[in-house]
Amino acid sequence: MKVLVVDDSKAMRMIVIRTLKSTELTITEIKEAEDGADALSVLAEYDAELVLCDWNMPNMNGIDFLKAMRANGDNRTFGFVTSESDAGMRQEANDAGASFLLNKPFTAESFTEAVGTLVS
Amino acid sequence: MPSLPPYRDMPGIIPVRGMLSDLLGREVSVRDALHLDLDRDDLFSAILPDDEDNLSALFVCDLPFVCNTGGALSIVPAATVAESIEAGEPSELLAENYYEVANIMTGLLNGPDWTHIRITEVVPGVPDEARALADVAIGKTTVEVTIPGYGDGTMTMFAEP
Repeated sequence: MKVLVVDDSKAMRMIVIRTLKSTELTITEIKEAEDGADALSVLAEYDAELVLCDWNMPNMNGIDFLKAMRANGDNRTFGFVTSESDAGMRQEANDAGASFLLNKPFTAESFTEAVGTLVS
Repeated sequence: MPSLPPYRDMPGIIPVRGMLSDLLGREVSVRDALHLDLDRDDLFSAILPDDEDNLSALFVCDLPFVCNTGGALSIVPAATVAESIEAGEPSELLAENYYEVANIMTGLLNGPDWTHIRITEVVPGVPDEARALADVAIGKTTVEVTIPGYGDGTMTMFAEP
């Protein structure tokens, strides 16, 4: 599985990638982006099957990035990984087309549970 | 008579341990500790206002807490972390990493019944506005943590409803 990790914090991208690699999922390639705008550029040339994205980012935040993806007809699996969430955020994420929302810090187990049935 | 918001439940050692262990990828030990003396010269404050920018909560921690949690977050060599502690200030990387640690720890003080708080900055010392909050805060708890491979650190958490 090819994954794109989007977060304005390099440290958090490292944490997400570390957790990804500790799961039993077959991760073949991981690329990174530092905000939504950067991620759109990467996705234009990267056949990622899964996007993991922070919510709050400068330049273009996660929800706007997801909406831009869907507006472009890009229906790749998308999940938020964020430090906080409430019912409103989860609904907004769901309405925009996200498949899941995980709170930081997340574990290999919670990630596998969220993603396992979505991608091979 | 207007109703008051419910007081924010302060986290105990179990949720703090769980959060830090998951975040840092190692089993952290946490225990109750004496509150930090805010006159110390090796403290750092994470400023936590509500969505209207009213200061509502505060994390005050010592230099070892900043450096050891920051170091563990991205697996900085322990010797490098020790150098920062010895030098009396965190490196830029450790400071950035600690900001992320504190950012995630705000989750311990957020909940559906409480005013939402967020982190805006981490500053050295305890600024006057932060000191004013600390003096009257109803919610107050202090933890000492031990991070395997790095060392100990202490944090005092203050919160208003």
